[in-house]
Amino acid sequence: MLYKVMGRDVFKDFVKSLISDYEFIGPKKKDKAVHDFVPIKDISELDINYKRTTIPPAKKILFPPDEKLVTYEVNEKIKVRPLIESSEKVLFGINAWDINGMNFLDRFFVTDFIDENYLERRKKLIVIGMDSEPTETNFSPSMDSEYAKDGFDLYLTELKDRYFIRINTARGDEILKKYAVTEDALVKDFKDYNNYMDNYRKKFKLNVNIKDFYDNFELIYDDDEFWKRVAKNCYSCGSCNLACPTCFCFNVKDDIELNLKDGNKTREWDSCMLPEYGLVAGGLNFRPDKENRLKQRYRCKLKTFFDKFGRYACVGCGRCIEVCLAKINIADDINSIKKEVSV
Amino acid sequence: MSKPKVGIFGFTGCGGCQLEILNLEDQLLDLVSAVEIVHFTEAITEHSDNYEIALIEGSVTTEHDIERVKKIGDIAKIIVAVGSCAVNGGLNCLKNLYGVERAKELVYGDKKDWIDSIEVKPIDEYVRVDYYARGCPPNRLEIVDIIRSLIIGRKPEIPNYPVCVECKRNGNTCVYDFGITCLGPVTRAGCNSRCPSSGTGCESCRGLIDDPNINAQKDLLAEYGLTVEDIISQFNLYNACKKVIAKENKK
Amino acid sequence: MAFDIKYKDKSNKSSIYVPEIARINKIQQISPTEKIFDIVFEDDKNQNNFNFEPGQFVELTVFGLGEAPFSICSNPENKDFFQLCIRDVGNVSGALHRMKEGSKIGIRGPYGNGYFPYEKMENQNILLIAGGLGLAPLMSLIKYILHHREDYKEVMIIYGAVNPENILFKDDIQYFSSRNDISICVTVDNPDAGWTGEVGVCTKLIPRVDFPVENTCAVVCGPPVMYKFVIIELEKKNYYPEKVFLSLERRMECGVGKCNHCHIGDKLVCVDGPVFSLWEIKNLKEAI
Repeated sequence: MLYKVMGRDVFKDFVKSLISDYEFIGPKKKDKAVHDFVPIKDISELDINYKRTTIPPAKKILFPPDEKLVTYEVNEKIKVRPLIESSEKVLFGINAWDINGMNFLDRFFVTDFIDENYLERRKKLIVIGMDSEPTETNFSPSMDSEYAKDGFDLYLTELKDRYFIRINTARGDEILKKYAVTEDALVKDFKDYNNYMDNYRKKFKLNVNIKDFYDNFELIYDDDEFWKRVAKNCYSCGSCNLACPTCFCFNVKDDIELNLKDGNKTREWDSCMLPEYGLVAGGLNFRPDKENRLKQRYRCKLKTFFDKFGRYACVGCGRCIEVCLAKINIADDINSIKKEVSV
Repeated sequence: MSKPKVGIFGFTGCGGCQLEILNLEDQLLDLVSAVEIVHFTEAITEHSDNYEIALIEGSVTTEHDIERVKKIGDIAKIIVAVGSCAVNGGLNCLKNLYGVERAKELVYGDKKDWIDSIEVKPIDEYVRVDYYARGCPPNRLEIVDIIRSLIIGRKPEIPNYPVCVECKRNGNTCVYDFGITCLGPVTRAGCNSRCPSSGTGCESCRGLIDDPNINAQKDLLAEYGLTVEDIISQFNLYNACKKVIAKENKK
Repeated sequence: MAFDIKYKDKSNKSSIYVPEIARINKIQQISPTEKIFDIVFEDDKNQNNFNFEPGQFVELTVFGLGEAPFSICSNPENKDFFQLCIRDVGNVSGALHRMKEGSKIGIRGPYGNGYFPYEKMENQNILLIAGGLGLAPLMSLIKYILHHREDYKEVMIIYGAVNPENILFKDDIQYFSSRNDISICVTVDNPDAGWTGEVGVCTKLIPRVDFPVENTCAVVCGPPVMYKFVIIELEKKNYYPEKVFLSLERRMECGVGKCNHCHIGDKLVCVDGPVFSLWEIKNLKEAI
């Protein structure tokens, strides 16, 4: 890691140059409730003071909601071609927990088999991180995710009169050299940065005791009453999964044009909360109940991947709490578990 | 392979479903080259009783309708109900809430006896329906998908998940965030979240999913200030023929 | 970037979702609902490189229609083609059943790191228990064992079918019966007038097996409802859970550990399975 500082006056020109030279994706106000990460053509569209983003920016780019994986032509001979579309992009203003969400997906999509569709896009994505205001439902510090250790090229932290920059890659270093005048970070800069981080962490009001949940999960696992209560109002609508920065489940579909010649394989986001998730040909459904599906979701988020990768498949962004119309609250549920098992 | 013959028929409704097929634009030519359309009430004057697939729009509201729909049922190998009226009775079913006689009187006054009008029912009350292209209007891409699936011999995939899924895939802000109520969480998707994407709440024109959480939906609507009557009328707009919902709500 | 060091780059850049073109060489209807398909890759190179283990599966694409996983039922030592035994129940299997010899399909695989551990089974008695279509994945193992017969001790097959016409692999069963180094017992739930064999579920034959448990491996494959009852019988006889192997079915979309549909607890059937030992399954809630 390399540390530099950049003056506030330099920042605007730096962003302007990136917008003019790159395919630039950044936060833009969508409506009174949320911001959305979209292609930015002019700096006036960019609003880095965002709070809520319904759809995680990195997931949307690297693993789009629907994506053609393979195309084919069905004639005498069948021609099959992989479709891996990627172009160099700058993802600007993504916050630490969403970077950590992307880091999880990075790990996931290259484990066992390498998903080239994801990987190609990931390699070409220039990530410039910046902190954003946490929402009331955010519990990232409990999940060790309010700070990004890696997965970005540059991370800009706004101090009073300057930006503190963490440079994580040679690519980031080159971009910075080319587009901005910077200085090496000095002791005072580090001190101010540390102060800033202390204050920033205080903005997160929600805490969860994930360790308790992890330790007691197997104990609560067979308590059907508990899971029925948690899932009582669940709509099985999948909003929690679809808004999650680490959820990766998908369906693959084959389709063909009406000419019966041009076909493709497409994947689209799926959700483990939907009734058909465990349905196999012949009509047997391995997960027919919503409480069972919810339990499995919690297992996947808060246990499975801690055991596999040493990190949770949850970064504490709180999106699933915000989007749930049934008010299912993963933070409350994590915190309730110790009380449940001690009764 | 010879092209399957298709008949497109209209019953009681606004005719908008047939219009949706005509509105296919780019895909209309592909469609008419993939199948042979032998009857299309709204578009062609030719008519033949020789067809394998029948697309039926509208609900059954007269004695004459019953005869017609049964005749189609005798001929067609596969019947697709197209649009809310055909699928679950649709808006027309609101008439049933008044009772047929009262409704006739309200509309036609002392001439009511001239009118052939019976209780509104979806077509599957009279003929077997193989597939349902839901919605008001139906999603034309879904109609194409059903026809394509029938040509290649696949069971058409009609979603059994709620509209929320499509809203999220489309990156919509939930309309509840703006204080607008929406039946999306219990309504079958497949419309590509048409209404919420344009900022209005879902009215459940595609009917409910197989296992809707009606209680949760009632709690939610009540929280947004709707009375029991409001909630019932919301559910009834497109689903009055499905009495189960009205009953559920009165509990 | 830090990210680069986390994965090993492969030289082969083709996507894991691209199927190779293969041809259905031969179709045999072996029961009212099942057919066996002989499949050969169009490209000889793919055919030569296609090595599978007993218990592994492939993802089969019917172009334009869909993709589904199927267990391979032929002898892994046969390099000329491989076979799938498929029941007509879904979109893809239904389309396959309508296909003719010579039709083209797509194949990805073989997949499944958890296959029948035939090396661990060497010098053991082998008890194979199959129900219905569950015989298909076991056939691959049975044929492998017969190919290397001297490496194994006694081999016994218990096979349960719903009724006599649903008995699969009748020719193979006849052949096994004619050999004296493998015993096979077939039972049906609903016998017809001509049936002279066993009647009832396959679990009731297990008590009669008298292999010493310390050097016996049991292999089980069948419909999900069968497992619970088979396990009870095997446990009554004190079979070692680490020597009992079961092949599990779940919904799969990708076969390569990405779509996550086949998870059972912390495991994925596609990459960790589809074959698991009873010891693993006992510690995997909801597997059975």
